[in-house]
Amino acid sequence: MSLSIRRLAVLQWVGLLFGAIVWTTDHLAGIGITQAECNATGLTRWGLSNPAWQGTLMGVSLTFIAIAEVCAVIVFMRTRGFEFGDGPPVEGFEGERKPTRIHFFSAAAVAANAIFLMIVLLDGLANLLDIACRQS
Amino acid sequence: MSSGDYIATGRPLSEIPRTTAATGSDVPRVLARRTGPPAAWWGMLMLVASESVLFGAFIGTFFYLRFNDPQWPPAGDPHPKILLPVIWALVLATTSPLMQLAWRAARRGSLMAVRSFIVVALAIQTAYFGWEVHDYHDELSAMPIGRDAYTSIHYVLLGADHAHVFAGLLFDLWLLWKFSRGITTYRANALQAITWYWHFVVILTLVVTAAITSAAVG
Amino acid sequence: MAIATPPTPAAAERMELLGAMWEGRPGILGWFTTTDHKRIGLLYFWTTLVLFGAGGVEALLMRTQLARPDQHIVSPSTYDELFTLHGVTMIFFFIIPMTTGAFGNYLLPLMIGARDMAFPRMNALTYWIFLGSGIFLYISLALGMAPNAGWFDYVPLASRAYDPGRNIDFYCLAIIFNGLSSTLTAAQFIVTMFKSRAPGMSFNRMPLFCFAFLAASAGLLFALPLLTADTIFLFLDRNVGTHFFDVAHGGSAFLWQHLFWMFGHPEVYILIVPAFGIATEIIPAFTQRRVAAFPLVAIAELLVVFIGFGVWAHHMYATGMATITAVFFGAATAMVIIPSTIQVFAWCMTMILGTARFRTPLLFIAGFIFMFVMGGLTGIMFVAIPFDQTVTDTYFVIAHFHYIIFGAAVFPIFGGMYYWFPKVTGKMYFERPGQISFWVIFVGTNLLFFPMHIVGLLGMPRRNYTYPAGMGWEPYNMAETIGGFITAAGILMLFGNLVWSFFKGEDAPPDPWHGATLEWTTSSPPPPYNYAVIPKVSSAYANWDDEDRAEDREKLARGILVLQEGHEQVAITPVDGTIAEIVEMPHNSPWPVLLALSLFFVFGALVLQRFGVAGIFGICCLGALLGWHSKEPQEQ
Repeated sequence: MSLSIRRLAVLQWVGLLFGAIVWTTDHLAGIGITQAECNATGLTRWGLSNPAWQGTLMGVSLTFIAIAEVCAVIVFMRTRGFEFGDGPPVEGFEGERKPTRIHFFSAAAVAANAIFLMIVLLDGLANLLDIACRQS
Repeated sequence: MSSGDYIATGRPLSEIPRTTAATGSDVPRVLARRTGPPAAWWGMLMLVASESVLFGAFIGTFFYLRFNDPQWPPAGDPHPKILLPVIWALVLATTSPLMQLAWRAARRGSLMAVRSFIVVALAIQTAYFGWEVHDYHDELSAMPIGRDAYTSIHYVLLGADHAHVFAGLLFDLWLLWKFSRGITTYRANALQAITWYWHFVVILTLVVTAAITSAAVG
Repeated sequence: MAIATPPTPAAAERMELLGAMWEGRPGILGWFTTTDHKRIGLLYFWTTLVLFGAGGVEALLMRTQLARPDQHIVSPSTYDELFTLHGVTMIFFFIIPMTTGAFGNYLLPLMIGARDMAFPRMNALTYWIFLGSGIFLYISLALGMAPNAGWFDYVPLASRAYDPGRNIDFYCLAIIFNGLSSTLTAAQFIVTMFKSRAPGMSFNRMPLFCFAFLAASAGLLFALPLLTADTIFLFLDRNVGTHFFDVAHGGSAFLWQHLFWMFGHPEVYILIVPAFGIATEIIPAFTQRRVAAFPLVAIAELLVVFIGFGVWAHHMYATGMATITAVFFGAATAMVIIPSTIQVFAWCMTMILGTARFRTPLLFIAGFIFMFVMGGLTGIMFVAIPFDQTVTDTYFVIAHFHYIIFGAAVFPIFGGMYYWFPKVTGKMYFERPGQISFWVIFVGTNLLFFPMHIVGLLGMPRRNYTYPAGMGWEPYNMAETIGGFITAAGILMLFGNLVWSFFKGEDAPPDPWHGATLEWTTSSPPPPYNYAVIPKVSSAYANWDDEDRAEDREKLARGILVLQEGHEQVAITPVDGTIAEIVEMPHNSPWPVLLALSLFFVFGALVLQRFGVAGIFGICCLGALLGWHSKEPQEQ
């Protein structure tokens, strides 16, 4: 399936921003769940099962970040051959400003999403394996 | 060597608008040729981002203190009203599309429409602000700010929201004064930025109202 | 290839016309009303140096007090003020204004090919607010009421009950006042980088320096409001009787810590990321090679700050939170190391693959990499929560963050001073004394901070004005004090060299280093309008694209994109750098300094608890804002 530059540009933004947004949400939600679970109010009222909530959160977040990573990889592969913008500029460069930009952002996104994946995996697994509300 | 094509992918230099100098009937034409929001709009976006984080801190504090207190509001503090604050917040929300219509009118160059929309929006916003000040004052006499953590965050969160509405009223008055003397790109840029300020304040008020009234339930 | 010298007589005429149009008002009034980013950068530079000196004196006083056990050179309460002021001064009044205010302001428009920032008058405002906040803070010292609860000012120690004087009120208000300056600077940099780049400079063709400053600016914009909220709560608790932090009335002392570190951790990345930007420009210049892994280095700079927003409670591992909460911060802290590591690898690879000339700027960068890696290794150790809990509040922590801050922020600043000295002053510095100053500072800082690791592991607590004899800490403290004075000597050598070079150095050519970025295409020092022709950009290393620079000279000769009809600059689309419009920029204006003055009196009235008077000066501020917006561009 051939993708136009326009579609690649959209996918590039998905790859770059989606993973970051999902990690941010996962991070804040995960911390919030542990706070609600272990705080004065939480112990008496909410009665959450921390592993259940955190496991679900981890699963959903990993899925979405993986989607972002796949988008980034697709865009990176489809813009192979273009340089990243650090030059030297090639002949007929003007038509290549957009694909060069897209190639740059997709490379960046591939690295970023890999890091986000690891963070979500690490803290999710720790929450699945640890005893809830034990003081550190 | 053609310098035109690389600059604007098809647009020669002579067609690039000199926007800031345009006045009167030039304004709609110049704004139509502009390919993206002006620096003033971006500056307002920065302000909105910064203030959003400030309110994020206030609202985060509200819920953090709530999670720390088994009873919320604490014993002896009256529950917040629900109906009137929500109704008034929705009333304020009507000014968001009104300001957007004012900006659209500026883009067309219809000065009378610009002034009318701003006047109507300002009237609604002032009514909202008047009621809020009255209610804030009433609440303070029944429940002083220095009673406990709940009263502390309640009044600071609400007060900060009211302060931002007040700043918006001043912006609107300034706009009316400027537009009383005609239309220029500068004034249109300012209106575009302030319109986005009001979108932010409206959303903020809805979120703050939801947070404050959440203490009445659950 | 520079457009320092005009190619034709017509070109010379155009440059003269531009010069006359962009030249500021003469004399001292010109400095008070300037909106020229270069002048504002210089104002920041000198003011920051004075405050750096103050912070340094505070440090040396502390080191003198701690050189031997059981000394009473300063009293405990004075010592409290010293370590608090040292921290606040160095962070808020040296590093941030030096990197963002001095280097950022001077260099950013030059690097992106612009004639000025997006909001020149607001730029001036940030300087005058910064100056006001510095004076405000040090008035507290003059009055004997300096902040004294540490730079992170934990409650309940900082509450009215335990700190009844005005010391902490000065702290809260100085922080908010200074924060205004940095917030406006951050907004300025972001909008300038989005809108004012040269045509053709798509986002991925921005120099890596700009990516670093973009990351730091986004960090400042989103982190400062958290500190503002925190200090507002503290000010209200102390002056109005609220109970945000008062446990007896439903408040939480942890609330202070959470909000503080949600600001505080991004802040430490904000301190080092601009310095990373300085390093990523010095390395290509002195290796004559593009930086390896360009997109990874660019995203690493942004990621370090972004992920850095999520690690704040690693400063709170000793507060007893649940492990299931702590692991979120541990995981993010462990992974935030990766972007920093990517950058270190990229820099080292660039130096290995290129032909490195170890002139003074590159020496400082080599020193920076060494010290940053040292500090980073101890940082990794803190990820292990049990270890962290053992060394919390000991000198081990002080060693870690000084290696990072001094190594990763101050060394690049010193290197950058040498690197851009020819551009800013038009004179070459003396190389030999420069290298000697590096080695003295390097030896001094390692002697000063390395023993702190050991003495911290041996149990020496921080923020104690003295220690008893017989703990085994004496030789380390003495070594640290000697190291401190050696460092001071090295810094004096550095500045002595720069001053001497200013008066006696050779004239500098426009491009002494064959640097990679646009500022090297213009004269040394640059003309008030920066660029006679708006430059054409095809890569992130624009000065190495000879064809583009030749095309610029041709355009100047033919009068294309010279923009001399007014005080003009281009605006572009943010992502792909296509020209969108031509904007008229403001010139000299008195309103920034008047607004800053009114704000100073607002904060002065607040610290004296005269809320009505503060309100009156608030109205003066509104008046200044009205005056500011009274004249429109077409009326200029």
